[in-house]
Amino acid sequence: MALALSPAEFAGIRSRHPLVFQRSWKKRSVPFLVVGGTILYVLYAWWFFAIGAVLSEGRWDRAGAYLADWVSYDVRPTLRFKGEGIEVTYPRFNVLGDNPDPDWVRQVDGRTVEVDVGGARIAATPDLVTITHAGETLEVDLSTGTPTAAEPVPGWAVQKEDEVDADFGFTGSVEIKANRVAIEHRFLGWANFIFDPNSPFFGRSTGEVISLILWGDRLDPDVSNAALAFDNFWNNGEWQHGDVYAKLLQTIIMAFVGTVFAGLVAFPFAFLAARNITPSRLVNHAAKRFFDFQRTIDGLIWALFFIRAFGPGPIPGIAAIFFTDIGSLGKLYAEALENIDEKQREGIRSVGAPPSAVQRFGVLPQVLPVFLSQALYYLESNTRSATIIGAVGAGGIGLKLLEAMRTNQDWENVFYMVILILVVVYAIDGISGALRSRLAGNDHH
Amino acid sequence: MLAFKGVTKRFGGKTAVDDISLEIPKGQMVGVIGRSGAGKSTLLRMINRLAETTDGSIVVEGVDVTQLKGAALRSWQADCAMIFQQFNLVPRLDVLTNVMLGRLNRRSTAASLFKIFSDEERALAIAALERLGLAETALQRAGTLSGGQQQRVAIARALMQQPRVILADEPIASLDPRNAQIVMESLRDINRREGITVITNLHTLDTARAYCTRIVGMAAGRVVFDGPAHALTEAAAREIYGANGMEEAFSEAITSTSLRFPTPAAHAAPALATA
Amino acid sequence: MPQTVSRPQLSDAGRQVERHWKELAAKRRLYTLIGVGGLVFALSASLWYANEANAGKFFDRLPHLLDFVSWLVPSDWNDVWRAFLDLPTPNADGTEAMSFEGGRVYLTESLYVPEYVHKMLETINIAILATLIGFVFGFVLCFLAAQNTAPSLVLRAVVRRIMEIFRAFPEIVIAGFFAAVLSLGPIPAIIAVAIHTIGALGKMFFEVAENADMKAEEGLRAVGAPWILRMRYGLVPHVLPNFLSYALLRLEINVRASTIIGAVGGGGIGEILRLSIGRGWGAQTIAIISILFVTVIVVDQVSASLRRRLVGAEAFSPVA
Repeated sequence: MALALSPAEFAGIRSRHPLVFQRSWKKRSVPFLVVGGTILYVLYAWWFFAIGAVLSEGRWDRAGAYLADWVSYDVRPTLRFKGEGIEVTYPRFNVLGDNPDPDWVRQVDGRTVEVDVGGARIAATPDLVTITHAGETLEVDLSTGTPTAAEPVPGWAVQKEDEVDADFGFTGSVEIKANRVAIEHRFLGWANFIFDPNSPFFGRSTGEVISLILWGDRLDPDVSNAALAFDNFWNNGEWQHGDVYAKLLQTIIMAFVGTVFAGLVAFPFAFLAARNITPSRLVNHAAKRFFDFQRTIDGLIWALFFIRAFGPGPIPGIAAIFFTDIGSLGKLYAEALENIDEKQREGIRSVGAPPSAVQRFGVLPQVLPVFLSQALYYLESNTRSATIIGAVGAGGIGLKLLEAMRTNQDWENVFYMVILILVVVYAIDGISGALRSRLAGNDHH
Repeated sequence: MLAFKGVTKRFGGKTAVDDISLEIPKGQMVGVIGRSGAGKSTLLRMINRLAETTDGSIVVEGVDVTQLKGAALRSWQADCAMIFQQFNLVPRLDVLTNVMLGRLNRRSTAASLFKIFSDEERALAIAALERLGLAETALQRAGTLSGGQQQRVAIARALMQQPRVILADEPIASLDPRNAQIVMESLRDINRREGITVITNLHTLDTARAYCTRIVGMAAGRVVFDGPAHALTEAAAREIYGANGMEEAFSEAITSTSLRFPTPAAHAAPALATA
Repeated sequence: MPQTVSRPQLSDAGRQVERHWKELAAKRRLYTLIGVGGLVFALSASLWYANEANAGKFFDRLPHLLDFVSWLVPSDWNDVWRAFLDLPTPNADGTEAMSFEGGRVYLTESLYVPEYVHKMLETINIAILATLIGFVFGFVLCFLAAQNTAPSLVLRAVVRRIMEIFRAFPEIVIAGFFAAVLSLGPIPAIIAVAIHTIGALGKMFFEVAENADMKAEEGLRAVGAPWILRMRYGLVPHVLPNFLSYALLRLEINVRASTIIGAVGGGGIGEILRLSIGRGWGAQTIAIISILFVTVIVVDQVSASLRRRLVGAEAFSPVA
């Protein structure tokens, strides 16, 4: 094979093709400049936002707890030692209602309480707490006034200065102090999704609820059980279904009305902006600059202005989407008009039709599907942006999300709304996609 | 030595290659002829595994290449270079880089990822290009060359692979007669000087007879003729091409014009200039 | 000139065609009518509901629209550029509204960056960084997601689902979650915009990859090149200009997105714009809107000219 080169051949090739071997400095440095520039920019941004400091100061331990809250809830019974007795208490607003009596907490006798947390069993008396978990037993002596774990301490427990902590992973944890044992038991799922503890239906099985609704005596003499059940569900204090759906509807309306109006207004202006429809350069130019102006003013500015003018609610959201999309849709519509097939227009003109008829039959049939399909595209993307515009104060689900997140307590509600938003976004994407492919003609689908 | 043993390829219910057994000794220049759809292309693509076999084995130096996987498979692919009808170069990269890409299997992946090539490799690529008379175009974008030039670049890339076998799948079907001649001569030259086995699919009988020492005729997925070029009688040709395919078999025009395989206008114009 | 077209006599077959045509036309008119009627109904119901749900009612507040604009007009137009440059104003009355110097960001003892410039820079940097992150991840992921390049079907399905969720997941929830972990500020905003960008660019990228000519890739497969090099040389040179062009388009969108997310607590120009409008500070509001306006124009123009150089003058995807 001639591919193994002798030094002489190598030198020959080098001298015959110097350019191949001495590539210009400029050409060679381009990749380095791109990579180096990017790295420099990232370093600059790192410094500018103090990313390192913020990330290291982040409370990452909480991230896990917050994420767990999305799909689970916990119950926190506390065992309090009162002299020789022991008492089980619960926080005031807890998912089990005012008189919780879960079967995993058992008062054995006056001075002994047994609690099952997942696979772990806690047996507490005023002077000794015994925990059995994962085949190991932890005994905590309380008689000295300071909780003291007996050696050897299992890996899942820690002796601290004046308390002993045990951690069972996701299912829960225990904190033993001299005067109380605080237990956290976590369950997968959403608590009280249908009825909150204030509802008379709370705590009943599905079958019970159904039979009550169908043929039970009225729980409230004024309304039927079905109406009561629906009202209890709709106004569930923890999940606020009614309010959530109302806000979701507002968000959808913001996107829908904003897009439709923007399309309707952009439509005539696009005819003015298109060079081949309106022969006046001045008018074309004015209409196009108008579109640019509308596009350039951020939706946020419109939203904020209209919040000031009309107060929070869907109107500012509609306005924000409406004003920015007049520009975007108008520009696209004008481009579509300028790209039409002239032959069809000539055909109509050749039969001596008046100008309005020329537009109606020579232009509209060509551009209408394009117009509608672009409006549908914008409807899709506006459904997403309506959420965030709402959060600025324009109402809708965005604001509700923001409120739910503010407390750091209601992540499960956040997740609920996220799921609803995803469903709506996917549904609108699907409907609009189907409509668009029909508009695009039967040759596609 | 490359041996087909009962090689079969089915696409759904259709049998493209039907139980073919052949032995090709090292250093032969084999022309595979037949009408389009006879299974020539599939046969070739199965050798370097761009297509999988349904049945049978292809044994090279005692190794069944149809069973290779991962790095061993890629190493075999590097050993049998492929020339395509549509050249399959990277049009946006310069000719030199395109040729050096022939070595991708034989060098560090990391270095390749960042397009780092040594001067030695550059020199090798130039040497390959010089041999095909294209050294002057080394720094041009491959996409700006004519079809014939691009095919020669593809051959240079194949040379860079330092292959044991060169497979050429209709290498001249998209070229004008003059370029077709240059390409076929290059392949014959490589076969004669380096002793590399060349297996090439050809549409027409004349080309095959002019350049190949051995001719394999295929019809409907089966081998219907196998022998030296001079043994190919008109009766045999009739069997390969069928009664109404004889015109196709001898017509140089069909293989070389853009009637069947339209080439982009950008390629066609310079091709005419060189012709 | 009145004209009458005399009705031609039709054959049986002709009459049948005419009858069918009339039926079809009637049907189409009916569908159009139902469609338009439905739209009008949905629109009016929506408007009524929107008005009901709003804090202020449209027609109650409409007459006061002009009063509302009046606060925007500063008593002294010179205050606009003073507010912009953080210079003291002779109209100072001791209120926060009239003390512009507070927001200066000092680089050295005496050299400072005006607050609004700094905030604008923050917003632009959020957008650039998020676009950069989105580009890098979208670039890597798209080859796993495209039909013609995916090395594994399972991986492809997983990557596509991830992209879909990233794209549709509300940005404020991501920002809010990271704000809870990292405290309020621009970094949650960067993460939120970046995640959305990964989804959005990833989808566009794999669609570009799926439309790419695979001949070069096939050529490299025949050379025995490993997957990553086939992507590197077989696809990347082909798709990169389109990728970059989409990334620039995304940058334009992200400048707007990070302004809005700033207003929700992500920092940057959006936040002070919200405060300024909320408090009714005329001069500052005009200064902020001006800088925002100019920035958006500049970013759009620069991006458009770069894109034109990358992929030629052809129209770009209309989708935001």
